[in-house]
Amino acid sequence: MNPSPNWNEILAAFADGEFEGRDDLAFLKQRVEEWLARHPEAQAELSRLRQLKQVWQQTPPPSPRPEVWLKMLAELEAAPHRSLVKAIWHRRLVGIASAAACIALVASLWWAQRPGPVPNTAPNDPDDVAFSVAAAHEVEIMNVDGADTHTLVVGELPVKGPLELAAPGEVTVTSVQPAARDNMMPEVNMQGPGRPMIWARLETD
Amino acid sequence: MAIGTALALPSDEQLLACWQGGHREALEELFHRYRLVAYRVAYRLLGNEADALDAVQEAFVKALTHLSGFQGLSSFKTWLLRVVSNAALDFGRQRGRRETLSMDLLGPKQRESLEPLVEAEPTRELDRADLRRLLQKALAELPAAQRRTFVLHAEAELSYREVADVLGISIGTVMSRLYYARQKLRVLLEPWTKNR
Repeated sequence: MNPSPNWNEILAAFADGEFEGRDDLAFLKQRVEEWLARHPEAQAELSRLRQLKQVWQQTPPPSPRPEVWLKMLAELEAAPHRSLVKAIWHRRLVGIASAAACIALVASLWWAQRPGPVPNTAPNDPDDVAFSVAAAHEVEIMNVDGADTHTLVVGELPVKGPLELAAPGEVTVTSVQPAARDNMMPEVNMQGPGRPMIWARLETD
Repeated sequence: MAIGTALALPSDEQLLACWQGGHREALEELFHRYRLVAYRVAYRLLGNEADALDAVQEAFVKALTHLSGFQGLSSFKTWLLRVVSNAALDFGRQRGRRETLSMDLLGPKQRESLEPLVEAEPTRELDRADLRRLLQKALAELPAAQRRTFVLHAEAELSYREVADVLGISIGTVMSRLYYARQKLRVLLEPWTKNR
């Protein structure tokens, strides 16, 4: 039985010399050595690990010709500074593009929310085509306010303005009781334009 | 400033500072230090010299133009190897389909000629070239994460800790990937090892 569920990995680490010069792993190294001394199958596994290493070392990649390195160095000596300038410009362009995309997004939202003209009901008007200011892949959402609510609201609210649940005359206030939790009395305003307004704490528990 | 005389063995950080100050000799020294290890890693990940050299060149450019990426986090060597292994995997992904198609169009003799076999001992070197080819084929069969982990450890001789830093993973994950990579390589190389 192996001494640890990760025994093969530990044995590989031993073969890779990971325990050498590590005082904190001296105990583990000693344990592996003792295990190897008593278990021929562990010795065989160690030999297989070393054989693979040997095969690897016997087949190094072919070395390129020296002139290849000289050419590459010459190109590098010119390239990094050139690339650096290019990278700076690239970053600037990305910044400009991001800003433009944000402006376009804000503009399109404003455009969508502004009071619209009387809808043109003419069918298949060639001018009635959406003008794309940015493609989906050109817009990156960097931050969403209220992201901690785990909700992303896309589009418009389903109801604009006050939500009318009942028409005047459909509600009759018969009594008003204080809230059980804090004994607060709801306010009832009967002075409005014909409908009662009740102002009370919303139970959200 | 004369790099070779004023400083006996300048550190990578000193060389980088010199290079950023406009001393080209510093770049030459850095290049000389790490070109081979970078090339060997790229070769093992890509399997051919031309692509490996392209990946090395791109990696040096990227590593030098994005030095802020490594400063304070790791050594220049591990930073460069992270960039070169990224570049090699990108090259592999980009060229994979194209290469497969072009290799399908080549005959066996043309495929053989792609492997450099100019060595002193023809028989032994032919054997070695066969083994290298077999090893490359076996490596290519590994999942990218295992291949990269194994190559960084076996070819660049990085410790488990360094591999973990390069890849941004835990040492446990390094050990696990190495274990599975070796298991698969062993199976894939079995036909060759049985004939030895």
